[in-house]
Order: sequence, then structure tokens, then C-alpha cells
Amino acid sequence: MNVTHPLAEAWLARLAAVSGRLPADRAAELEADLRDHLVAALAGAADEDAVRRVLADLGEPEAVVAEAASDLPPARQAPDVRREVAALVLIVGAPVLLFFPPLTGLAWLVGVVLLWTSRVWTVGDKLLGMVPALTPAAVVVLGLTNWTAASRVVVVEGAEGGPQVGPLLPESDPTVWLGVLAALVVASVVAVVVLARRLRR
Amino acid sequence: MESDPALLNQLRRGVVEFCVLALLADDERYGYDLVVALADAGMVASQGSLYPVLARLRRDGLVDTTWRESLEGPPRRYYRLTAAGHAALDSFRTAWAQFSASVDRIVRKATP
Repeated sequence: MNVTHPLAEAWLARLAAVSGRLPADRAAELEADLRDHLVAALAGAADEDAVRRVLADLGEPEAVVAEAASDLPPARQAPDVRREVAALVLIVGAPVLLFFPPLTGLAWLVGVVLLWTSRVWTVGDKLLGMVPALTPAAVVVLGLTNWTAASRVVVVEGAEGGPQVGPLLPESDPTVWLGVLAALVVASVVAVVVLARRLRR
Repeated sequence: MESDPALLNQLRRGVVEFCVLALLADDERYGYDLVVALADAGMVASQGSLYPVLARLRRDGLVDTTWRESLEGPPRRYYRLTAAGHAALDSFRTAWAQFSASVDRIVRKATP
């Protein structure tokens, strides 16, 4: 059903523009009710002055929407997640700065502090966040010890005593510790994705 | 003396709903007629702000609507009271009688 007058259509357009804060079904219902009202009211409106009187009686669209919103809970503000985004960027980014170790350590530390001081993530989320935070260190430790052990087998073969750097995992099968590293990396990616998704609501 | 619009608005709040119910006590009415009648009686600042009130009464199950064909144009939405609406109106009438009598007594006594 079409309202006959452009001024009335303009009024409805203003209503649509300000009713965005209402739930969609309420906004649609309101629009239908007021369109219906305008059709009925304009049936007897002979000229533009009459149309203006009809719209003046109707009031401002803002007032209508304010009344419609009066029993709604106050708009929930989207939580501020800048701190969380920074934490993820720093934790993920710290290993990338590896070639400049002082920055790596600082970025990592700030990232972890931001992770644990978040008010958005739960304690479980924060523990999950430690997976990507600790994986680079695990990569280094596992990689170094196993690599050292593997090369030591060659270099110090036959030598007695001496400090022995033992591999954390059996050196005989590199696929085991490589598999552990791969699992850690995958777990880190999953953890970061899960934490990032928690921020969208 | 002109009455203060802000004060009027405050007084209308919580009462308009029951005036709608009271207008529907005996018969169903076309939404537009209902709105014009209430606005003419000074129960709302503007006609438009009554539609959210009507929507609220529908959601609360105090009124019911039906669409009826009209001779002059598109189908019209008619409002009528539900059983819950009748009950709400009855309890408001009782409360209002006591409330308005008390206010009258106090306000009249206070003014010389």
C-alpha cells in the first residue's frame, strides 16, 4: 500500500532512518502501523497544508522511536577489545621479531601481560592463550636439544664422559619430536582463532 | 495557566495504556480512530507516539487485533480487549479511584 504524498513518504523515510536501534521486527511493525495511519489520515487531505497538518499531529519520528524504545534495555555497548587484539598481535608477532631479540622478549612479555589482564577472556581462555605464547619457546628448546643431541652422536662418538645434553625426546626417531612441534603449532593456530572468535559478539 | 508539557508527559506515563484499554472496553475500534480520540483528549503529546503503546499492549496480550476490509481503501486493523485486557482494566479502575481520590484530597488541602 502506498502513501499518496511525497511529504508523507519523506516522514516515513525519516522514521526508517531513526528506527535502527529498535529490533527489526518492532521497526517493521512500527513502520506498518504508521503507514496505515498516514493512508487513513491523508484520505481526507485535500492540499499540501492539510498534509502538513496531518504530519504535525503525528509528531516527530524521533519521538515515536523514543517511545518504542522506552521499554528496551539500554543499548548494550560492544566490549572494547583493543587490549585483546593487541595481546594476540604481540604474542603471534613476537617470534617474527626473532632477529632482534630484545624486541621479541618485550613484545612477548607485553602480550602475555595483556592476555592475563583481559576482562573479556575467561581464565580458561587465558590458559589457552599460553599455548601460542609458549610454542615458540618449545620449538626452540625441542629443536635445539634434539639437534644438539643428534649432532653430538656424530661429533663425540667414542668420547668418554663430558657434559651430555640429553634430548627431551628419543633422538632415535626425529618424527616424534617433529610431530610434537607440528602439533604445538597447529594447537597455537587453533587457540589464536578461538580467542579471536571470542572477541566477536 | 498553561500546563507544563514535561509535567504532563510524566503524568501520562503509565496511564495512557489504561486509557486505551478503557476506550476498548465496550467495543472494538479502528487503530487510527483510537489514536485520534486519545490525542484529541490530550492523553499523548503526539499521535505517532501512541503506536508503540498499542504495539506494547499487543505484545503483552492485553489487546488483540483483526484486519477488516474497508470500503475506502486497504484493510484496517481493529483493536479489541482480550480477557487479560479486561482484567487489567478492572484492576486499574479500582486502583485509580483510590489513587485519584487521595491525590485530590491532598492537593486540594494543600492549596488555600
